[in-house]
Amino acid sequence: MAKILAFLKRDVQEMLSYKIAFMGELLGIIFPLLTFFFVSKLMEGSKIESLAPYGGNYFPFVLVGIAFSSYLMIALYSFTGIISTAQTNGTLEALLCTQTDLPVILLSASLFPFIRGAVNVLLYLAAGVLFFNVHFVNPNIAGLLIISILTVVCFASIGIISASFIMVFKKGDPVMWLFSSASGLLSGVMYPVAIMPGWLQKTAQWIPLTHSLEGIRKSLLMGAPIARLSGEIKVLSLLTAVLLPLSLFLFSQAVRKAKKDGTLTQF
Amino acid sequence: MEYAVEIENLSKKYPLVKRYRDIILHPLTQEKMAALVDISFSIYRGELFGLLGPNGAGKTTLLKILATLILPDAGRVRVNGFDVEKKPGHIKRSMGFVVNEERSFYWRLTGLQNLEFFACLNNINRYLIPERVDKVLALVGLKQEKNRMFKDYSAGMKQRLAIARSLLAEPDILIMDEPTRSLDPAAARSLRDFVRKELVEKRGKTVCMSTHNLHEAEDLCDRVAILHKGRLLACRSPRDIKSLLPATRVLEIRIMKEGLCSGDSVMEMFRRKGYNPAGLVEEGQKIKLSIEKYDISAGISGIVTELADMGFTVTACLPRETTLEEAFDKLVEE
Repeated sequence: MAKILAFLKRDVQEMLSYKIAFMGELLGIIFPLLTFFFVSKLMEGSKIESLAPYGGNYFPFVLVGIAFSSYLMIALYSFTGIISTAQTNGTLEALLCTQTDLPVILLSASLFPFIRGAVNVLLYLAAGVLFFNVHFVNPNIAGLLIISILTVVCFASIGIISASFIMVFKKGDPVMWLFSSASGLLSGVMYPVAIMPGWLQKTAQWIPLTHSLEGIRKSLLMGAPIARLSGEIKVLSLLTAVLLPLSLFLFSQAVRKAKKDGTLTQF
Repeated sequence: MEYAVEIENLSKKYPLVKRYRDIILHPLTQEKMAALVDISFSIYRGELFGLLGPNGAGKTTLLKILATLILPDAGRVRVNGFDVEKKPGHIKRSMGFVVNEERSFYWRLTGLQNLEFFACLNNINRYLIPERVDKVLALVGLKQEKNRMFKDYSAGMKQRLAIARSLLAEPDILIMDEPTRSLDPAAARSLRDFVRKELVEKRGKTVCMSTHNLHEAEDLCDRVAILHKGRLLACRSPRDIKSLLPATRVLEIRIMKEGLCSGDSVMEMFRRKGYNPAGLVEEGQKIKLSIEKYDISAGISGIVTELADMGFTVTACLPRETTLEEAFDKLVEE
């Protein structure tokens, strides 16, 4: 716990030392929301069938899509980011010389991006409620938390697999590219999966983010009970059960190979 | 336990990056380059040990193996009695690696904040961290500068903070990779004094440092290992290494040249007499040069007479002891 707090303290101290970047990040939340708010204005009055399961309005649909997909992408990117940043900054060697194991370093260092991401999600949702007239009626918070935690662990596992790749090959990670591109296109971040052709809808079912966003929208926008979320919970649990041990195994192998090749701190 | 570090038949090869053609034509083969070949030596407790060698000799690879950052291919390496492959955690508890990379700190944090962070990662109890950090800052003379951002430190201060970091866990053994590399002569001298007097003599630490600077090694180290192309050429005290050139000395000669003869013609005259002249310096009529590989057992009266016969007025003729640099050059040359 002390180590987690030490990483957190380090990251907060660093973030606050870059004052302009910190302010800019806050503004970065408002501009995309404004864009989609005006897009949703275009659609006002028109009845879009594919949005019916989510309450019928485009703006709440896309608000949840952007807020949570950006958070889940943090799970995907933070581990590779931590390793490659420490390699290029030159701090990795010093970290590895301490009495803390690399997996602990990785998990502790990832906490700050996750907290920052969670704050961003809350800011997105708060901005939606306060400035864009979005209403969340009877949201199922317990269901939302279950889906979110499963998704974060599942995505973090993919992130660790990606970090293993970076550890050995340094750049050009296909895992990350495949997941982020496919997730953005197919998993229903900006538009419902139902509007895509049948074969693409089937492909989308293989992407964890599709199930995550479906479950999150159901619980947040429609207040769906846990029983109605069971499909998403089962899929995400299964993926997590497979991916988490696989990612930890691959990571330990990648560290050993990098130590053997003498490339642990190279980039 | 007598030894702080024991290395037996250590070998390490690095895989070479494949060219695109080789990836296609020979996907399963991997060419390797030898970084260390069958190295064996030990470092005594409380010793200041130097690793010498030109670029690419394998010094950094060896230090990184000791620091458990690289795994050996063959052989056995023990630090404080622990095997580097089997007990890396135990080694990290008793050894501090002074990372010679100023980017290994967080530049936007102060010296104090950096040390507090690394102290926590070294399992120091959080209640003891302020006291321990204070102690190492005082030891390296940075207590007054602790609240300055790391980016504002001078090169010497950065190097001192790196040493302070390595001392946080109070290790018995310190590994340093070229600690004076980026320092000016005064800062380097101050750091050398600190390592010798404070760390080794006063606190009894074992220090293993790599360096390019042979004068530094000669002044500072109890023993040195000379590496060249991954092989161990010698492992002795600087004095013993210099004695590898037993009967030869360098003779420094100062003469007044007569008439209009040039420095080059003076050198040529020495060569014709069978000497190895070098390092010619001309200042008006004064000439200073060295005779290398001079057999001192023959005495100097013979050469003085010879020089007088050649028409020179000899103002000085001094035998000089072989330097570690000369012994190093000879070993590497052979």
